[in-house]
Amino acid sequence: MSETLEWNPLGENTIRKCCLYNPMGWNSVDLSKNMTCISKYGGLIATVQDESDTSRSGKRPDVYVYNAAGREISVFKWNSGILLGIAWTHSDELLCLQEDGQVLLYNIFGIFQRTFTMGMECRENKVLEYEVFTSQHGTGIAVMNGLYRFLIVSNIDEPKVRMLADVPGLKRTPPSSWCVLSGPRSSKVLAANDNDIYLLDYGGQSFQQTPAALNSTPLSYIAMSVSVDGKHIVLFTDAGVLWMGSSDFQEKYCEFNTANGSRPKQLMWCCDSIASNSIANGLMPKNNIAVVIYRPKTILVVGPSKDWVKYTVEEDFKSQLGSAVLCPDVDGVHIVTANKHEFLQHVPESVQGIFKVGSMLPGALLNDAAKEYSHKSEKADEYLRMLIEKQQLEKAVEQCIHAASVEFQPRIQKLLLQAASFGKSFVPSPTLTELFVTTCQALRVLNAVRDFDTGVALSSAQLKHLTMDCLIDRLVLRRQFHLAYQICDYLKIPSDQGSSRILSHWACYKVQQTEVSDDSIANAIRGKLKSAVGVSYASIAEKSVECGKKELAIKLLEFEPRASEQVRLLSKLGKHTLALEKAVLSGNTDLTHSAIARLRERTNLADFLCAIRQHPVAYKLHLKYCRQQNERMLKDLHEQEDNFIELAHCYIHDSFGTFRPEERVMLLHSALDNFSKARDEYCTKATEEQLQLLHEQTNLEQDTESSYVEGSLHDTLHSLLTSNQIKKAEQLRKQFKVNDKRWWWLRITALGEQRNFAELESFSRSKKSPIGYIPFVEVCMNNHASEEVPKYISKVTQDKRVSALLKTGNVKYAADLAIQTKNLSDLDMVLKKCGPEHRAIAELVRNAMVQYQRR
Amino acid sequence: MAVGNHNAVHLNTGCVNLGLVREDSRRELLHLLDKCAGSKALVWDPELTEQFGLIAEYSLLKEYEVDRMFPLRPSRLPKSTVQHIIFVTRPILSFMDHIAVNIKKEEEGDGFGRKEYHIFFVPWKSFLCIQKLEELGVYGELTNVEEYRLDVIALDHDVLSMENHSAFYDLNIDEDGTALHLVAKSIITIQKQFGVIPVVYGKGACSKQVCSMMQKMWDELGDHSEEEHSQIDRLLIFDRSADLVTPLVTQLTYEGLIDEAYGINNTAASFPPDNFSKTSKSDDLTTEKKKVVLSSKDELFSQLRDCNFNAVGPNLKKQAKIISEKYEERHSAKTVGEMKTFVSHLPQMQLAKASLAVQTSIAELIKEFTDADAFMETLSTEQEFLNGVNTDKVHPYIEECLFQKKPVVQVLRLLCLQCLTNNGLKPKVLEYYKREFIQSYGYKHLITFHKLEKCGLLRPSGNSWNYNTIRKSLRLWVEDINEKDPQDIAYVHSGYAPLSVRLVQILSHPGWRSIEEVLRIIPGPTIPGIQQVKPQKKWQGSLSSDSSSSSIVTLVFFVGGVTYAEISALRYLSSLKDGHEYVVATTSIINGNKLLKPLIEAD
Repeated sequence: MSETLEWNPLGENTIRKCCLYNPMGWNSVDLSKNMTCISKYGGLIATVQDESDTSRSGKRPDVYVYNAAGREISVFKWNSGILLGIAWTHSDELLCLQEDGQVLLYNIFGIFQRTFTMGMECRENKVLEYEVFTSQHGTGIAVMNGLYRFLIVSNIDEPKVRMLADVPGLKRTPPSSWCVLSGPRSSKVLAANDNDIYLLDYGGQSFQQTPAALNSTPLSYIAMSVSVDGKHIVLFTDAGVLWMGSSDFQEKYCEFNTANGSRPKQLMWCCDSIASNSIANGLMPKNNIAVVIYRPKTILVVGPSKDWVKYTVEEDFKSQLGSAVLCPDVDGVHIVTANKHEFLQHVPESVQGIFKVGSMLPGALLNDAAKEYSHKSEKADEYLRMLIEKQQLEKAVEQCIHAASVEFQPRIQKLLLQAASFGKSFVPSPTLTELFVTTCQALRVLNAVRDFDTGVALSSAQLKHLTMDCLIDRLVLRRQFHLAYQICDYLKIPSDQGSSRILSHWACYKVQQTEVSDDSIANAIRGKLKSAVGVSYASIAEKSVECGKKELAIKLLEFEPRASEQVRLLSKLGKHTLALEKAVLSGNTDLTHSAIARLRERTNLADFLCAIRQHPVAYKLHLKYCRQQNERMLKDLHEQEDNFIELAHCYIHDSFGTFRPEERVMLLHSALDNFSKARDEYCTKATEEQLQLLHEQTNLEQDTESSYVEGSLHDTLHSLLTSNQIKKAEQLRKQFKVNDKRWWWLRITALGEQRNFAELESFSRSKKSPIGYIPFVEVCMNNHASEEVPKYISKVTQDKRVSALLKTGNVKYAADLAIQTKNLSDLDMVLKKCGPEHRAIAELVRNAMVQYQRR
Repeated sequence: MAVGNHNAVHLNTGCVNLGLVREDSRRELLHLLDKCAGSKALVWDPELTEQFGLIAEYSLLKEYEVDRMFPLRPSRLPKSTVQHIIFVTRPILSFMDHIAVNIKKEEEGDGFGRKEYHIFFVPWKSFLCIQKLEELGVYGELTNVEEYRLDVIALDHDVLSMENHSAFYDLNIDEDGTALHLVAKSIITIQKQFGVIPVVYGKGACSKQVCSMMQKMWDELGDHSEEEHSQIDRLLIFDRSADLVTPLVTQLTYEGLIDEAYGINNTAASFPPDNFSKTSKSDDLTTEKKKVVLSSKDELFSQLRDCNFNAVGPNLKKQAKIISEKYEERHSAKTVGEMKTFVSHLPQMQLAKASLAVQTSIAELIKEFTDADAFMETLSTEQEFLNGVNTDKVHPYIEECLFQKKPVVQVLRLLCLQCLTNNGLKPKVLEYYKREFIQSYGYKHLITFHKLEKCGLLRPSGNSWNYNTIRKSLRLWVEDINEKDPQDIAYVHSGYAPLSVRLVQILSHPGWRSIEEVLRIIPGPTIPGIQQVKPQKKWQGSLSSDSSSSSIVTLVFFVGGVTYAEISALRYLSSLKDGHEYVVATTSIINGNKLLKPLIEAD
C-alpha cells in the first residue's frame, strides 16, 4: 500500500514524512555551511553562506532565495554588515539580522524594503544569538547581546525595542539555553542559567520556573523549545534527557532519555497548532504533538508517551556535518536536504481511518467499495450495502472528501475523490455536493500552486487558515500574476477583488521594467487592462512616478476614467496644461476651476493667458470667476481677445456704479470707443444718444432740485411734463426724435396725473390723436374722473367703442352697442365682463349671440 | 432605517416611488448632522431654508440638537450658547465673505465658550469657495467642510427638481457648464436609486454633453450590478433652449396661473391675506401673506392643478356640492351605526371643506388676475403670434406697452415671443423695438438685449428655425379646444400645445423617426436613443408579476427649467393610460418671468 509507505506508528498515533519535492530544483547547495531558513505557509527557502565560517576572507556572500521546490527566485549580494542570521516574516519578507543589531528586511526578490535597529547596546556589544518568532501581533524578534541581555521587538512592523529583565545569578557565562515564549499579550523569554529557568518580561521582572515532577537532576538545560502555538515546551538536559510539558511548566507529559548529552543541532515541536487552536484551551488530546530532535544524520521524533521514531537523513556527498534544515510550520515540520523537501506531520485522522490496515471505518469501506467497483467486482455492492444499512454513507463520503483534501499526492487525491463521488451518488445531499465542489476547487488551486515552478508548499489546513485571498496576495507578491489571475477567474472572485486587482498589481510591476520602452509598456498595460473593470490607472501611474517614469505615468493617465484622479496626478507631475485639458474634457467645472487655479499659480501671466484661451470652456469659466472677483483681469482678458462688445459692457457696468457725472461720461466714452471698434453701429449710436441725454440730464439737475440722471428718456420727459416744463420737454422731444405716439402717451398721462382735464381736453383737440382715443378714456378712469369719459367716447372708433365702454365699467351701454353693431367678438367681450349683478344684460347678450351665430 | 415619515406619503404614490429620493436625502442630512455632536445652530443660505423644509421638518432637526436657526448675513450672529455653528450654503463666493465675517465676529468672543464651525455645501463642495475661505483666513477655523449632495428634491410624486434657479443663465449667458455636470450627477443619483435607465433620448445643445458626462460618471463608478432592472424605461434629456416658445406663453392651467400671478416656490405660494380672512378662524389682523402649500397632499388641489382655469370654477362647484351632500347625510342617518360612520367621516369632511375654502379663495384671486384688461390683451396678442399672425411688423400692443412703460418682463415676453414665432425679426423692426425700449426703460438695457440675443430669445431673421413649419407639422396650434374635457395637451394654453411636450408625445407614439425633418430645424442636436444596457426583463413580459407597472415609464429631464403647464401636459399624457407614464425632472420650475428676469439688467 503505497499510501502508507512513509507512515510510522507513534504511540496511538501515526506520523508520516510526505515527500513534497524530489529532486530539488537547485543544482548544488551545501546546506551544511549555510544559514538557511524556511518560511511558514509556503516553504520559501533562503540560504546564505555563513560568514563566520569563511574566516572573513573579504568575499561577501550571496543570499539565495528559492521556492519550496528549490527553484531560484532571486539572488543578491550581501554587502551590509556581518550577517548573523536570516528568517522569514509572516508576510514573506526576508529578515536579515546583523551582528550590530541592525535588522534589514528584503522582499523575496532581494529588494531592500526597510530597516530598524535593536538599539545602541546591541551595536556596542554585538548580538550573539537571536530568535524570530510569530505571535498574534505579527513577526517578532528577540536577541541576546554580548552582555547576555535580552532585547525584544514584538512586531517588526512597529519596531519598538524593549529590554527584558536580566537573568538572575548569571556570571560570566551566557545562559545555557533560551527561547521565546510568545503569549497573547506580550512575548517573553525563557532562559536557563544552568539548571534554573527564568521567565523574563519587559517589566523588569523575572520569575523562576520549575518543571513539574522532574525526576532527573540536570546540571543544566542545554536546549529548549516552545511549540508554534506557545502551548508546549521541551527542555533538553546535559544528560540527554527530554522534559516535555505545558509551557507554564505545570504539567509534565513525559521524561525521555535520548542517551545523548550533546547539544542537538535543532530542537523543535511537530504539532498541529491550527487544530489545537480551534479547540478551546488546551483540552486537546496530546497525541498530535511530538518533539523533533535533529542531529546530523538522524532525526529523532519523540511522542508524549515516550514512543519514538528515528529517521536517517541521507547525507549527501563529502560533508560529514548534517546538511538537513528543519523548520516548524503550523501543522508539521519542513525538512529540507540537498535533494528533497519533505514535510513531517501527524497523519490526519480521516486519512488514517481510510488507509490504516484493517480499518473498518466508513471511509475505508467506501474506498474499498469504490476500488472493487472499478474492478467490476460485486463486492462493491456488499460494502455499499453495509454502509447504507448502518446509515454511514454520508459519513463515509465526508471522510473521503476530507482525506482527499489533506493528501499531497494528486494520485491519492483522485482516488479518494473518486470514492467520494461514487458514494455521493447514493446520498443526494446538497451540503455534501457543496463540500465536494469546494474541496475539488481548493485542491485544484493547491495542486497548481504546489507545482515545481510556483513551489508554494502549502497544506490544505494551512490554506484554510491563510485564506484564499491571502494566498492570491502572496502569489501577487511572488509576481505569479498569471496564476493568480487564473485562480480568481476559476473561483469567480468578483473582479474588483480578483482579476482587476491582480491586473493592477501586474501593471504596477510592469511599469518598473527598465529595459522596455514607455510606449510598449503603456500599450501592454492598456492591452491587458482594457476589459478589466475598476482598475485605477492613477495608482499605476503613481507607481510609475515612484520609479521615476514621468512620461509613462502621463501616458497611463490617459486611460484613467476618474477625471479627478487624472487631474490631480497630472498637476502633481507639473503637467498643468494637460491637467486643464483633462479637467475640461470631464465636464466637471469644479475640477476645471482647480486646474485653472493651479495653472495660474505655476505659470506667468502671458503663458497662462495663452494656455487658457485654447480651452474655451475653461476660458469662459475663468471669465465668470473674474467677473465676480477680479474685474481688472476681466478687462485684460477681453482686451487680449479684442472682445470690444464685452469690454464696452464692462464700462457700461462701471458707469452705473459711479455717481460722479464726469466719471460716468468718461466711462461711457470708453464704451463708445469699444462699440465703434466693434463696428456696432446701433450700439454706437445708442451710446452717443445716452451721452447726450446724460448731458441734458446733468444740466437739468443743476437747474432744478429733482434727480434725472438715473432715469430713461421717457422718465425724464415724464418728470418734465408733470413739473410743467413743457418747453424743455419739447426741446428734448425734437433732439431725441421722440416718437409721436410716445409723446401723446406722455402728454396725456402727465395731464391725467396732474388732473388737468381741461388741458387734456384741449390737447385731444389739438390734432388727430395718433394713438386713438381709448387712452384718453383710460387716463380719465385711472385718475378717477369718470365724468370726463363721455367727452372722448364718441371719438373712439366704432370698433373699439365697446371695449372703451367696458373699460369705464358701463356694461349696459357696452351691451347695447354690441347688440346694435352685431359684432360677435364684442358681444363675447361684454359677456366676460358680466358679473352676477348683470344677469339680465348677460341674458340679452347671450340671446343676441345665439341669434347672430345662426346667421 | 425608519427615517421615512408620514409627512411625505404623497411622494410615494407615483409610478416610481420618489419618496425614496427624499428618504435618501434625509438620511444623508442626519448623517452629516451626527458628525457634530452637541447643540448646534444652523446658519442658512436663505434660498435653502424652504428647500430643506421639503427634506426634514424642524421637529426632526430639533431631535438632532439643532437649537437655533439664523439666516446668513454679513453681520454678527445673534448670541447663542450652542457648541456648533453650521453654515448651510450653496457654493456662492459672496456668501463666503459673509461666513468669514460671522466667524471672525464670533471669535472675538461673547463669553459663551468656544464654538466649532462647520460648512455644509449644497449640493457640491466648490474649489473656488474653499480657496476663498482660505484667502479670507477662516478655512483653518472650520472643523468640518462637508458636501451635502442634495442633487434632486422630490417636489411631488412625479416631479424632481434640482432647485437650481440659475441653470439657464449659467449655461446660456456665462457658458458655465456646472449645471450640466450637476444634471449628470442627478441622473446618476436617480439611476442608483431606480436602476440604470436602458435607453436615452435627447434634444438640444446640452443633451449630448449631459449624456456623455453621465456615461463617463457611470463608468467611473466602476463595477455595478447590471441585473437589477430599472423602474424607469427611458430617459429624455430636453434642453430648454430647444423650446423657448413655451415658457414665454402664458400658462392657463390652475397651477400655472398661480405661478404666473403669485409665484410658487418650493411647492408653496403666498397670497394677500384679505381673501382668506373669512375662512380662517383666527381673526388676527396680521398683514402677513397667507402661505399655502400646493401639492398632491391636498386631494382637491391635486384634482384642480392640471385643469385649464376655465374648468376650475365648475370643478369647485361640483366639489362644494359633494361636500354639502355628505353633510346632508346626517339627516338620513337613522341608526346609531349610520350615525357613527357619519361621525367617523367628519374629520375628513372638515378637512375637505377647509381645503375647498382655500382653493376657492385662490381661484377668486386668479379670476381677478385673468379678468384684467392687460391680461386679456396680452393673451390675445400671444395667440396671434402663436397662430403666425401679425408677427412680421411692429405690433401695436407691444408698442403701446412700451409707450406706457408697462413692466419690463411683460413687454419682453411678448417681444421675444414675436421674434421666435417670426423666426427672428427684420433688422428694421428689431432696431425700432430696441430704440423705443431704451427710451422707455433706459440705456442699460443695451446689455439686456445682448443677453437676449446670446441665448436665442431675440435675434434678427435668418436661421434654420421656422416656427410655422414646426407649428404645422407638429400641430402646435389646435382649434376648438375643449377646456373642460381636454382632448389634447393644447388645453394647457387654450390652443397652443407646448412644443417640448409634443415632442415627448411623439417620441412615445409613433417615435421620432417620423419627424426627423422637423427635429432638424429645432435647435441643437438630437439623441435618437442610445442603448445604455440590454433591454429589460420587464419588457419581455413579466406581466403576470406586476401588471400595474407594465406601462413604459419615461423620465423627462428639462435642462434649463420646466413650466407647470408643461408638467400638467405630461400628466395629461400619463392619464391617457396608453401604456406610457412620465416622470419629470428639472433644474428648476420656471415661467416666462422667471426665465427672463435674470437676463434683464437690474436697476
